[in-house]
Amino acid sequence: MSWKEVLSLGGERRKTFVAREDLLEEMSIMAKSKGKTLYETVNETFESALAFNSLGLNPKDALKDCGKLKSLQERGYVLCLENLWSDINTIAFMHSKEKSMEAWYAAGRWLAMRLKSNRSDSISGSGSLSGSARLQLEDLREELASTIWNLAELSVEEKGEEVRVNLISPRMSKELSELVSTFLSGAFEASGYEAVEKSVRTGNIRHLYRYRKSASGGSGGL
Amino acid sequence: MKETEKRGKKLVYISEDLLDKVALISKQRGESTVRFIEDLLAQAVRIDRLGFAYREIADLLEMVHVQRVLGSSFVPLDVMNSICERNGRDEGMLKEWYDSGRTYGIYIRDKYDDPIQILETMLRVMRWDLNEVDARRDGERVVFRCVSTSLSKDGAEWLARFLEGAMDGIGYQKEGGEVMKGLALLSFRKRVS
Repeated sequence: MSWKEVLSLGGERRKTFVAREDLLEEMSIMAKSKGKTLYETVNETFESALAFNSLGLNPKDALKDCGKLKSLQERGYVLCLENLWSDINTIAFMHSKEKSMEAWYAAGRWLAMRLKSNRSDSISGSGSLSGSARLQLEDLREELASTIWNLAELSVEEKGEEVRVNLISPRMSKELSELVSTFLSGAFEASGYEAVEKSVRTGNIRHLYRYRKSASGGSGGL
Repeated sequence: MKETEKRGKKLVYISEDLLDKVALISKQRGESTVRFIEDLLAQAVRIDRLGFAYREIADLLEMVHVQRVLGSSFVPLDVMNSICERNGRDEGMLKEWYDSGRTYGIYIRDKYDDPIQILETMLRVMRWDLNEVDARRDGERVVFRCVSTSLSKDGAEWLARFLEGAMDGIGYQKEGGEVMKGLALLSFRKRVS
């Protein structure tokens, strides 16, 4: 039995339970930073867990979703209605296809740089990004899957030096499909890959890349 | 011996009623009550470290649900800023923001008892590039104030149009306001039906 006593303080019945000391210390620090007591903070945590439960949410899943949101925030994403996003991209595309593609290509390059720089072996002694550190395709796949919610299909398959990307998103407009394709090009080309085959149709993007062994570091590719 | 078993244990007080309810949930999930409670406490600490208040999370997840229902996506802020920089004043673009806001407004008006509160929370969740978002109410009047150090003049104009659309969908009409670099301050009055 982990809880034993029942006290009645100010009309409220309290029990004690046993929990890990390190956790309770962290809870105490958290409580103090908010000007609350440990008792109030633990109670609030329990109340929230009950609220999640009544909404049919598992508190552990709730944490995972919050972590994802926070991570996407830190990775430079914002939430936007898909049709709005599609429409404003179409308008921008009509005004200047070249500028739109430039912006998406740069965003793809930036993503590749960020993903590569996460890895400890990607930074050379001089502090520049090393060309030998390959883009982790699973990281890229995960990034695309977590940011595009209406993906019907996404595969990033590596076979030897080649990578085949297949993205199907039926609600994606023709223009947005072209821009997302440019985004992928930016990510792969900045990572030392060259396009062997590219096919873009409305809502369907298929690319095939081959890794260039001569890919350089910070200045050229990555 | 496992790492967790090496750690010391300590007693802590909790409301009897809450403890009983949480113990019941853990049993329903087939988990040990002690482990379930320790997981909850660990999550509370991690959520706090992520910068969220534990109590806000149900709201936050509800907003994610709304976004999913209405068909949202995470989009690169840099690309959005680049489009805004180049085409911010395009009338078609401004209309898109207004219409999108209206879609949200109508949805949250029909689904929630307090759509203004939901809109405020939604802006916080969707637009984390905003430093401050608040909706001040005074009877039939609501003043929305959105502040961001990174918001351009055109970006503020987009946000203002979105808010106008959303408030129109909820049932408010614009009274006036100020839109400038870094700030969108808009006042609305409930429409007489």
